[in-house]
Amino acid sequence: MFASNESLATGGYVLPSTLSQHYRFTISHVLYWFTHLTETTERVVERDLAQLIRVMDRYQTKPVRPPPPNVTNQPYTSPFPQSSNTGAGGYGQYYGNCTFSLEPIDELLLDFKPWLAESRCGGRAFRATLIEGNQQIVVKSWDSYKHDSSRRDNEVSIYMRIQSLWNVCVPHLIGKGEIDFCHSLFLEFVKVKLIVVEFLQ
Amino acid sequence: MSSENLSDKVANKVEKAFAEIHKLEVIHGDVRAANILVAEDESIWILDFESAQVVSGSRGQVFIDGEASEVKMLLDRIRRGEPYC
Repeated sequence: MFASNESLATGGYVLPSTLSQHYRFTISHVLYWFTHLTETTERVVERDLAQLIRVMDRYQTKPVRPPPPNVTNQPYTSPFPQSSNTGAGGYGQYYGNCTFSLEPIDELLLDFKPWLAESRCGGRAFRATLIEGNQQIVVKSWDSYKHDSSRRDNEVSIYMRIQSLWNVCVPHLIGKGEIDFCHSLFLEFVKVKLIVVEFLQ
Repeated sequence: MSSENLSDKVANKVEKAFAEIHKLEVIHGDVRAANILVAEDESIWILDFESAQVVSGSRGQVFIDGEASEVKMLLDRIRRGEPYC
């Protein structure tokens, strides 16, 4: 810590005026002053480290629209299986009767700062922003040094199976990929009503 | 809105949500309050399908019934206004 105020400078370091005037100050005084500084200074967060995070092996969910029917006298039958697992309940209202598939994409960029306290959503989940569309998302990550991708892949396959409940009672799966050394999946961000917890408990 | 009404409302929605998930032959595998979110508009969101499994057939129905009873126990506590975490 170099001196910014000449009146307080002693040997190149900043000391409180009461100590700098005292000619018998010791290392303990200095340590005391540093402790005082850490208690009184606001916590510094490394915000400047932030860069856009480029996701590797990127896959994003995309709605698959059935092709338009040919104009014939025959009734049109969809080439897609008409199971209960269609987008009727969730995005069905926006995309009609279509299913979602997970497709590779060229680029996925995130504004992702997991070191900030406000980004933490508990457990493996962190808040981030998808650059495309400036959409708030939740990133769920598994440390690849401890886990293989099977847990992430299982969760993705389950989300794909229950896609009719997306935006109904299950968040919309946005995609999956690798962030640095973490297997990750990306989900829609849901803003929680905290007051309900107080009511219920 | 009284707290009792809200508890009932939340519990009913959670029950319905899990019933829908079970209809798709999926068991959640980790039913607990931490995996249920109440959004600002009071909608219910089920999270964390890491332990979920696809189950089918009569054996699958056993798993679904087991989880349904787990959900019922959780909801009873919510309806009674007891701590459930």
